[in-house]
Amino acid sequence: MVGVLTLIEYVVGTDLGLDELLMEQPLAPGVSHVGRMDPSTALSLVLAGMCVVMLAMWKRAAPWTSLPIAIVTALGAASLLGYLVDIASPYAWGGLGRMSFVSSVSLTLIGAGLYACAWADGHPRTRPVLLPASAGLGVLVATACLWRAMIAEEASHDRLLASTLGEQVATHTRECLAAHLEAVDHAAARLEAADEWSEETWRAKAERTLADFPIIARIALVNSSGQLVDIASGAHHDASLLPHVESEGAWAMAVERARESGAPLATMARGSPEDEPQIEYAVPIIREGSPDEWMVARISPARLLDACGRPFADKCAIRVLDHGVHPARAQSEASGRSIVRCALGDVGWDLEVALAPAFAASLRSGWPGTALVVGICATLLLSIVLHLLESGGRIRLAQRGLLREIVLQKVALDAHSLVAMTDARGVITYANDKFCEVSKYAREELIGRTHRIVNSGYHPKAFFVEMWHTITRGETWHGDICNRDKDGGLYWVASTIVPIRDEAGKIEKYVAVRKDITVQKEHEESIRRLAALQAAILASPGYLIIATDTTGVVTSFNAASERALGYTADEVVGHATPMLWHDPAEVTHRAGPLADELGRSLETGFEVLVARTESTGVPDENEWTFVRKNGTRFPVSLSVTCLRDGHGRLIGYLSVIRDITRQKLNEADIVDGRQRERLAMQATGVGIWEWDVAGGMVHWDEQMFRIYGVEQTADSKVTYDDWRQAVVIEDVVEQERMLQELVRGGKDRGVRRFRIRNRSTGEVRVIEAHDAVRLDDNGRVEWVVGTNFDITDRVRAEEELHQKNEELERFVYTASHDLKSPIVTILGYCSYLKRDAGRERYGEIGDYCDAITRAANRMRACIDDLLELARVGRADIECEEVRISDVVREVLEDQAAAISEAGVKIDLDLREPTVYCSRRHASQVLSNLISNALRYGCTAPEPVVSIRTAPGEAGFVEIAVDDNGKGIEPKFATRVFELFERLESGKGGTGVGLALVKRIAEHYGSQVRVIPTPGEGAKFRIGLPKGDGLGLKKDSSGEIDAKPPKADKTGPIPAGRG
Amino acid sequence: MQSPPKRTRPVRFLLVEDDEDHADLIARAMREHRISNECSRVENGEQALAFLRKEGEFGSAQRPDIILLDLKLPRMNGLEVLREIKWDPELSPIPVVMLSTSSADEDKERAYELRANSYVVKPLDFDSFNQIVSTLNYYWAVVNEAV
Repeated sequence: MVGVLTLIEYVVGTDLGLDELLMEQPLAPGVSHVGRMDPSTALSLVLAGMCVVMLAMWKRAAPWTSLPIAIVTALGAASLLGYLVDIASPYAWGGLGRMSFVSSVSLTLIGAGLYACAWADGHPRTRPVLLPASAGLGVLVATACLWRAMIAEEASHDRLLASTLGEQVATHTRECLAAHLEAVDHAAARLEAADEWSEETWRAKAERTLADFPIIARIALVNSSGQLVDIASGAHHDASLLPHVESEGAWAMAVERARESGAPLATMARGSPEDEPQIEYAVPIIREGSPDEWMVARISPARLLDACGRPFADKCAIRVLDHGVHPARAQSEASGRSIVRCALGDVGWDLEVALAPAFAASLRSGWPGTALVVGICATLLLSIVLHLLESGGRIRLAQRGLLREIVLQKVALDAHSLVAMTDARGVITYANDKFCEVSKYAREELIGRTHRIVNSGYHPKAFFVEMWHTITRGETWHGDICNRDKDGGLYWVASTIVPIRDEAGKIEKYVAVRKDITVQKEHEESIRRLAALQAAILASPGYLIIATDTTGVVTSFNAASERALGYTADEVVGHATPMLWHDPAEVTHRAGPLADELGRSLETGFEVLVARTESTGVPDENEWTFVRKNGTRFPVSLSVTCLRDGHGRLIGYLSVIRDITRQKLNEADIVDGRQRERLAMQATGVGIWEWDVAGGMVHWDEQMFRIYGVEQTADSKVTYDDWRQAVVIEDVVEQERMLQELVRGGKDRGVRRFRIRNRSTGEVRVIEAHDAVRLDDNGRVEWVVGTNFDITDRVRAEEELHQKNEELERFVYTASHDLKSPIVTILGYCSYLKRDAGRERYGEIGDYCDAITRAANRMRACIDDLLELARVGRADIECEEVRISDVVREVLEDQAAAISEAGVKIDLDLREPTVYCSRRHASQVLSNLISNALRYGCTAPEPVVSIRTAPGEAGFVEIAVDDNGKGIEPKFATRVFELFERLESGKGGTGVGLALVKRIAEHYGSQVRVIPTPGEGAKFRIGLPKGDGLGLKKDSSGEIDAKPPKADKTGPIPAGRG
Repeated sequence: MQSPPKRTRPVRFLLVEDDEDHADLIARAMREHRISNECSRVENGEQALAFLRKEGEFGSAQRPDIILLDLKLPRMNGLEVLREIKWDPELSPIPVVMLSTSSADEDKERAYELRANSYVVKPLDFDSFNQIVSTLNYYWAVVNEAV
């Protein structure tokens, strides 16, 4: 920016105030010289700035920016050179090229840097032109600058020399003038000294002086009377005449001035403005008696200078300018001339001194011209050299590219082909890697051998003879060769053998390029085999194989078809459709259901045959009836498949047909066999299933559907998942694992047992399964066949048996304790009894007997109870309608003594009057519960036993027997029902009663429980089957019997049982 | 037969027995044998533990030197009581003799598993009873001396 502004200031010549702006900046004094930058600096900065911007913004500008950069560099460099050769001061065009030393160095460096950037960024294509051009331009500019600078330097030297010469001339002139004036003085002095003053004398002397000093133009005498006597001319002028001689006025003036100063004085005088100025010298002549006489000499400066400059004439030409400032002075200086001031008299004269051309020429060194020529030459040379260098680079680059391409081609060729070279005799001289790789020989093994090393013997000798004939004639040979590799394996190559001739035209070597086509050959072979296979299939006598195009026109008709249908292939291929031998009525009949199945309309005819396979994509097998040419009919199984090309486009249909006449006849037998098998299976209840492992489909027989409670499908097919869902969740993982092992290992793992949920009843059933597998050819499991047998009932029976056994064991164990206990007592007392009897001590015998009796009674009761307990599950127990009130009354009657003794209040609430069970059982339940309540529950001050019945769970009556005694703690809630479990001792219980109650409840599929409410009395609940109130035995009076114990519970009951 | 060691104080028995007659027989046997021991009797397992821990009505009960524990007891059978005793660091040093009518190996094994000190099948005659009481007496004396 500053550069631009400065440049504008220079070019337009206006003052933009830049200097003031910049110079008034508060720069630290003494740091630097502050000033306007030189024009070339400004220009360079502008160009450099421009280039930087262009380089930064426009990448492709790089080559072009090298031109202005060259100028910048050139200006800087030229300036720097100027400084180095010390010709900086009168620089170039009027000083426009001047720049400071620091600027020049900086700009040179900046330019060089930018140039390097431009060069580096430049496109290789533009470099060979622009680089030399810009470098040349730079050198040219530098040369021009230097040249101009040298010219200017020389002119400056000329001026200096001229000035020096001028000074010498001026000095000489002054000395000459002084000598002349001295001569005049001398003459005047001689006049003074003359004894006699006469005009002639004076004149003579004057003339002698004039003769001696030719530069003095005139000498005149001004006498005391003021007359001027011109000595040279001899004219005699009266002083009065002076006014007439105007040109003489100056004389008078000179005298006048000299008179005023009182000394001889040289003054400049001019006769008239047009006249040349003259030097006039007035000398007083001092004589007695004539005080005012003057001798006046007049000298022409021109002649003086001319005379004095003559010695310098060969060196310079001098011109006298008018004294004072001469307007042409600047011009004179510019043109190499010098102005010298020379003081003559009281006036300074300006002398223009110009060097004589010959002298000036003798001073010329010829350097500028040489520099110019050298510069131009350097420019051209540099440009050419750079151009060549860059172009050379390009050519090398191109060569390298070409070489690289050749190498790549070789790489590609090596990767693709087997390359070998042989000499004229066929000896291998070169083998590439691929050749080695395919032939499996090492390169060293191949080189030096002939191709016989890979000869497979597949081709006859004539084959190679023909090949050699071709190539020895110099022609290229092509052909497929079967070779043998080192390991004995065969490989096929498509070979091209090219003979290479030397310069003499003789065959020098052969190059063989071969492509490995083993795979193609194998494909060809497999295609041939397939064709053979196809032919064999078509020739198969058992199957009719007929191919059609998409419209149904027959394209292939095998021999079996001809035989079976009676048509020849020529008759049908390309003419007929399969409708020729199909039963039209059958086709029409099936069209309808098929159209419904596929959900689209079908044209009756060929489409009916192929519609299903076309839409499902799988072969469609159906039974049809064919009509022979002779009109007879036969059943067939027809399998239709779509034929598709490699892109999946439908190209036709293939029908494979089997005559099933014989099969049909056999089928009836088979159906019978199946029926028998099914009946057998149904009888045993064993279900059979088959599982197509790959397809995931499972086939079940009827029994399987029954076992699983699934509605039987038309094709008896279910999926594996159907089965899996039926298995109860806990068994699924284990069963799946076992099946997977079976499928993986193919080994029968024996019996599996798992639970399923019957889908229709929701019941869990236990299944026992046996499996067998069928393996395919690869030893993989193809089918699994197995049986399922519902063993739920058996398992239940087993469980029950197991339970019973355990119960029995427990019974035996506890019985052994409790039954032994009274025996211990009896035997113990018996031994005392015996001893006391022996000693005849009878005091305690009564006690002993009591104890023995107690123990025996307890044992009897215990055994009774155990017998009851054992009897509960017996099959011969008859159930009947039992009126609960009857039973309660009987029990209360039995327990009357205990009731009255304890003062128990009996509370009855029998909402459900009857139960349906064994009367004995009902009696035992109530008897045990009530007697327990009386025995253990009557600890309260006012004991109450309440007996209630209420509707229980579905079909049951809940009988509740509560007391208000201590109650039963929760931890004993189940234990009280165990055999021989007693919570208290000494109350006479056998420990069997509640176990009996429990057994009875379980017998009727119900439960007995106690509500554990410690402190609130024991609350027993038992369910018995609900009666319907019908069929009651009439042994007790109906209405009154409903609440018989009402009377009993208030009044004391007579003691019954002890 | 070894002579019984000299005793410093009467042995305190705790008899846990629900059957009155059995308790009577044991008491008679002790008397017959002239073992002037203190014998306390409780009827069931809970009472036994309460006695040993001096709880409730047995607040003033003295710690027995030996426990005769019937296997079959109401509310809490002998084995449960045994487990409680042997798990209680306070009570476990007291020797426990199990009494049972059962001679089944199963019962014996379970009793010994629960660290019963002895298992005695209830004898069926007087002499045997006497023999047992005598053995117990001797047993206790040995234990006492060892302590």
